[in-house]
Amino acid sequence: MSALARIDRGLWLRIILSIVLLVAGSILIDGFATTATLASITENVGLIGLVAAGLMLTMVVGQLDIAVASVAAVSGIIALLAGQNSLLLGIVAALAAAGVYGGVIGWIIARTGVSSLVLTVCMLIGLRGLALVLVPQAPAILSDDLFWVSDGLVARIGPTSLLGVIGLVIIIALGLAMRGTRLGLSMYAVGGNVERARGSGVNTTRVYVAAFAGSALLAGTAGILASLRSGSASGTGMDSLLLDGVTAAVVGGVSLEGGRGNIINVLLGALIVRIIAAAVALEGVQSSVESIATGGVLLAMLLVDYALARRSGLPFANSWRVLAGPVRI
Amino acid sequence: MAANMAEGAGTPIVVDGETPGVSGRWGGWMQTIAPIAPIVVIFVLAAASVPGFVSGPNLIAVVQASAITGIAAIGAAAITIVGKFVSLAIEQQAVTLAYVFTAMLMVGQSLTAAIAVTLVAAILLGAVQGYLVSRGLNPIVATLAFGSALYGSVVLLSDNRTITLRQNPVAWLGGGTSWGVPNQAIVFLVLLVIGTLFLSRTRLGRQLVLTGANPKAAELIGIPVRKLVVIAYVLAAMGSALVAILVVGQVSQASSNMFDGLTIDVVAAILVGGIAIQGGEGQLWRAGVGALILTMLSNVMLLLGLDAGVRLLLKGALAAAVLLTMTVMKGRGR
Repeated sequence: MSALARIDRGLWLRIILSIVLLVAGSILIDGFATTATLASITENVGLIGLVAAGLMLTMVVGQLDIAVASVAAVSGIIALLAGQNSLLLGIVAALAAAGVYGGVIGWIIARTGVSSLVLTVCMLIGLRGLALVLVPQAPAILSDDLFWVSDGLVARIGPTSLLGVIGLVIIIALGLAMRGTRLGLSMYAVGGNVERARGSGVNTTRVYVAAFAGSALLAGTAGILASLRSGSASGTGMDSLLLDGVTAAVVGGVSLEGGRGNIINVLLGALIVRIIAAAVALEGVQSSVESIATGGVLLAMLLVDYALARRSGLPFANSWRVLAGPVRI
Repeated sequence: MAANMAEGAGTPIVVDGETPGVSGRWGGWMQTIAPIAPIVVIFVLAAASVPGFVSGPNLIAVVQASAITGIAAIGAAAITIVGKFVSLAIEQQAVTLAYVFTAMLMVGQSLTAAIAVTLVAAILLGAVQGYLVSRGLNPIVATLAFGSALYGSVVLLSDNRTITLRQNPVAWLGGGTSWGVPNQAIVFLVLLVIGTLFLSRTRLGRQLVLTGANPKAAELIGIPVRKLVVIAYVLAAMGSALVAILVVGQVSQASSNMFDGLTIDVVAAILVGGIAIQGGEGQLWRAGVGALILTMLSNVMLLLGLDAGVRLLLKGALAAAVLLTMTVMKGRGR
């Protein structure tokens, strides 16, 4: 079976699943089939999609950046704190900080061979601390004369909002860059087989730096957009972005083994996650149901992925790579 | 393993199974004391500069506070040793088990029955995670999902209520002291000794260590690798069960936020102690040392009046520093 056919089958599966969920939601839940719900879903797909796209970058190169939620929180806070006088300055400062941070992490991983998972868990802890240091008690607030930004971001554009459009444009541009540029293709090569990629002249350090800088920038963008939307950023906020982002990426068929993943499927993954979240919210049940649903979907998808890979004899079923070495991912 | 032994032959302090690659006396020695050095440094600095640090009650408070993280970390270290880093569902399973234990006592079951049911629940929780991971699912992502679903279920079933015990049959264990030492701390130390003996003296313990060191070789010589991964997760869940029982004994209640931050503390303890990078070497004491360093650091910062954010920031920074130092030292000899 060609790789293309496999991707297509996965794509159709996700499209059908999204449609089934949308139809089921419309029939079963009052108030689901409204433009407001649809706009809320697509807006959040833009947001979660940014985080998932960042995770896809690091997963494609065969690593995992587990610190995305902390990066998003810190970026949002920097944007609001540094943006007191000039919002543009705040956004640039936050993105610059995220990009430099991600680049340094990628460089360290490339140079020392340290497990990305373990290093980014340290960063998850440390950056959450940084977020709490920056705003110890009351959250950072967007100044009154800038509230038009919040209103502008949620302004409806077709079936989504401005925030949704910004997210989708960035995500699709990234998808095109992944397939159309040398660096993007090198990422898939490194994720497929790092030694072979290096042997054929790929600069692996550059690839890792790009993947982690990209992941931090995308998570940072999501954090900034979310903070601007709500007009505030707290030290403890955004921690659900990790689970949502990972679920969207995994439901979107990005392999944790590296080398596989495409942006359209990730967007569909984010769509599926958000449809379920919207349905849970509309039903008016406790938010604990949402964590059961998201966690359950992620687990189910991991198992489906495992079963499919096993049946088609892909390397996933042969778990040497997962077992090899203490924590190599 | 034989090669490592030969390399370390001239070095008296090299621990059995020391990392390959660090050449000569210096490297091995450095690696052994590296995790202990921060304890000494923090202790000396704190004693010199922080008023009230070197007082009997405060030192006992430090040991007591490190006991909970330490016990959970010793359990979780089984996962690290078998080569799967850690479970991200530690605090969720501890909360679940605390509810199970408290609920059993509430409905009038005997202490023995309550403990038995809690342990059975722990075995189940551990076995499910272990099974998923042993099939080749990513350990971090699978336990993240499992923890989320588990926590949601517990909050839903308990209606997010705090349940309080009127009579607490384990108060002596959770809150009491023997000869001036908190019982929790005694449990911590006893568990550390038992765990170390288990890893070095029993067949199962050695198999765990070997699986983490080289899963391919372990499978080739007939070790049931998948079964051992399941056992490691079960051991971690048993650690969480013990933590749940001790804390319920201390506070006489179960609530959904009683273990907030435990997973982070356990992961940080495992990283700071250095066991994560050594992987598959079975140096369990590193997990205990990691917990002690972190608690001492937290205590000093608390006495200095630093807030939670700074403490968390330093935990992450220290974990990263130890991780990178040990990785670089390990890589240099290659």
